[in-house]
Amino acid sequence: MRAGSRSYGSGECFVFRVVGEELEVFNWTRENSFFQVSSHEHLAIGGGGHFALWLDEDLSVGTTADCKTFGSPPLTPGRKRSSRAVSSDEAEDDVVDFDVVVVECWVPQMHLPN
Amino acid sequence: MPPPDADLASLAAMHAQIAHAREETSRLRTEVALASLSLETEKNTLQQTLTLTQTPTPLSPMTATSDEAHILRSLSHQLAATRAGLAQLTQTESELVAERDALALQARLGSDGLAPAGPAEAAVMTEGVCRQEFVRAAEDALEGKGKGGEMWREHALPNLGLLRGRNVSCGVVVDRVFDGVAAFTPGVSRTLGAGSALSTKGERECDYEIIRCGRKVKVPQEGVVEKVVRGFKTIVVGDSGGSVTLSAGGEAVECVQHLLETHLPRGMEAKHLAGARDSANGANVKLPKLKASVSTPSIGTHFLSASRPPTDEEVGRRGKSRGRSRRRPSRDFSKERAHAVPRMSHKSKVLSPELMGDLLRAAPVRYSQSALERLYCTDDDGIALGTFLLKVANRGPVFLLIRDTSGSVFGCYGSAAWRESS
Repeated sequence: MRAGSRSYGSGECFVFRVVGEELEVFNWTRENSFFQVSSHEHLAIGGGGHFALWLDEDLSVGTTADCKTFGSPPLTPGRKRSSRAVSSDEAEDDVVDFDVVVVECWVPQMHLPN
Repeated sequence: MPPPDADLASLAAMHAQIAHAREETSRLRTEVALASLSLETEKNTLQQTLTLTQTPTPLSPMTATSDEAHILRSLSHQLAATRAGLAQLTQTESELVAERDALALQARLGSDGLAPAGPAEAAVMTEGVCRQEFVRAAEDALEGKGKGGEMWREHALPNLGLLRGRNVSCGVVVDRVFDGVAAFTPGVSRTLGAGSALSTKGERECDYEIIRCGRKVKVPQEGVVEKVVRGFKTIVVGDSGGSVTLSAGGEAVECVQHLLETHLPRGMEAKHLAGARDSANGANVKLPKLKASVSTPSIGTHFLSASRPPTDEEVGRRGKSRGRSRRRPSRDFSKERAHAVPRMSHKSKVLSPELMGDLLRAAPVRYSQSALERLYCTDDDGIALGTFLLKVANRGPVFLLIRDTSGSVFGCYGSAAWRESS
């Protein structure tokens, strides 16, 4: 993240995951106010240590981790990091990589286009 | 008789021999002394070399000294270089820590210290800038003046409810809206009290007006307005039978109390505000259902609430949560699934319609009756972030749904549209 880039969005943000048949929602904890950040190369939400969710510029890979903003755990088990690839300051077990199969984006609207 | 001549000669010869021998001896002695001296010098040199190199038996004194000194010099240089590098790293680290702290502070305060980033902080700010400042700031923001204008409109305004009626003006932070509320975004009366510039022209059909961004929306008279404030208990401000009831706890209650005290019509205050100090849990007033028939369609059913006020558990849940990564129990959505699934523009490849309904209900309740339009899907629209940002630009809050190769389904709700850069 570029130093000086600021987050936007409000405390209405949340992250979620599906566990079994149920939706598990993680709302804002007020620990910090890092909400949405983005650039040409990534999207991310949550902060103050690790992002709750981070997606790369191809929307193909991402990371997720314990996040203080939402009190959320890694949202997916993802794929295991290979131990030889990490440098010593990245070798934290709770940052999870994942590979995307599909990403969808939906907005609430009063009326749908025909 | 005197000795013979031969004897004299031999005597002389003997003397000569003796003298010669003495000379010889003396010469030899000198040589010995010199040799001994040089040996002594050699011995000293050797001793010095031994001490210098601290090796028991140097192969050659001169060579050993130069090797060791060379190595020592080289090692000293390396040590100095490492120390310099370490100092530089330490400095970088402290610079980065300072920058991070500054950013955190900045994020908490918002762009200019006036506009908060989220509902609870808006409430804290409300407390601090109560009274005229609050009103003035909101007025400026509605007119787009000042640095905080955009932040207010985007963040604080949607979360503020301003209730104006019967000369009551107050601002509270709204998180959820329940029965009886048709709209909750604010307008601000320019002169508080009677005769406000925003009062309806001659129409008295409603006891309270709810004003959205300067436009007036009239709401039918009956019912009370309940506002639930995240982090606080229920704040009920209503108009049934002419009374205003406040039951609240938490940090904003004093601010709201003050506002109500300042602006309530006479005769109303003492009785109902006293109840507030007990910070009762939940509503004091029974809530009749409000038929929302509002004149502005764009508000309309946006703000139809969930069918019930929050449970004590949910309201209590809004308290402060400390500690890292502590998970709080989520709502039991299965009980709410009696609602129909939302209208959707496409079939989702990530979530079932039931889960989409759950997701919509987890969003701010003003969207609980919304339909869902799919703006982007990687299967159809490709895998470029640039395209994604183009399609979602300025479309407002957005749900991001992800399925990954492990089969997990997850995502987020962003309250602002994703932008190209922060």
